[in-house]
Amino acid sequence: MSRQRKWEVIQQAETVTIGELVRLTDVRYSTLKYYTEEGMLPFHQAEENLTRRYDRKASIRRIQQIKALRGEGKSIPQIKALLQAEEAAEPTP
Amino acid sequence: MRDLTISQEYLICAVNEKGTLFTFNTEKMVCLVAAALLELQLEGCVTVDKKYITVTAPLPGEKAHLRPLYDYLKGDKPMRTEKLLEEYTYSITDARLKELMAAIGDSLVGRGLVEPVQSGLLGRKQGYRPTREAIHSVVDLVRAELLEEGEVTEDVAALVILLDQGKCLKPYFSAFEQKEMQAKLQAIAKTPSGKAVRDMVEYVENLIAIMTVLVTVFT
Repeated sequence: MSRQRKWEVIQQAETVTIGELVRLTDVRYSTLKYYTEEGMLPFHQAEENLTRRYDRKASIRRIQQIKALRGEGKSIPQIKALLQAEEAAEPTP
Repeated sequence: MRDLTISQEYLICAVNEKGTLFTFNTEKMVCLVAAALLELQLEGCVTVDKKYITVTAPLPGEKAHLRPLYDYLKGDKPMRTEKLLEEYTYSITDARLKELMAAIGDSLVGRGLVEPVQSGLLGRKQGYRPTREAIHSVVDLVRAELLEEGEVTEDVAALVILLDQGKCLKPYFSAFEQKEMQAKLQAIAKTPSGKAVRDMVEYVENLIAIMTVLVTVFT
């Protein structure tokens, strides 16, 4: 078992756990869990039963984007559709 | 939310709506002392066994909220666990426990996570009432680790063991979540790397057992 990562380490990390994402964004765990389950917040998982890891920068940007869209009065299904359309329009590397 | 320590997180969840711990729940008080001890142990400042606590390293600056306990433990020889509990949870004045709680509480006041309140019949007791945000942040941290797949850190395992033994889980977690968390901790405890969890559970249970004996002897 390891110790919890310090705030300074989390702020510089390439990938973070959902708990660390809660701390970085001040968004409730249940909300982030819901976004994850709905496919709105991408993650990597090396194997089943291992910790889900989120790209720190991309996830923070995505959460801010969702917050802004919520602020504009959009519903979750509308936001989900917008994000999917945005991803589909992105050129494949 | 910036880093919070085990004793700070425990205090946020353990105090009642008046911001105090002083109820008939002695386990809650023992677990505050245990939280501070486990934090000192994880930081490498003390070693603990069933009978004695030994100071092994200086207290780092960021652990200033544990100064009262650390200074009490720092003596020429190891401190008997029984003596520590007697002094902290079974003394007439509660002075040492109040001092420790004030140090932890004040460290949280400075960060806007608890509000100092006067409590008790005559308003002479100092209480620390946590904000909703502070409670959410601790509860969410526990959920995010123990209800998710993957690794659980020693810090969160320790906190849940303390909240469980101090009977503080019920107001924040559903019966289903509590069962899930217990199952996960038990599963970790059975793994070779789960020794830390086994040791922590055993240590907190031992403290509560000593306290029970003290209560029986002195009443």
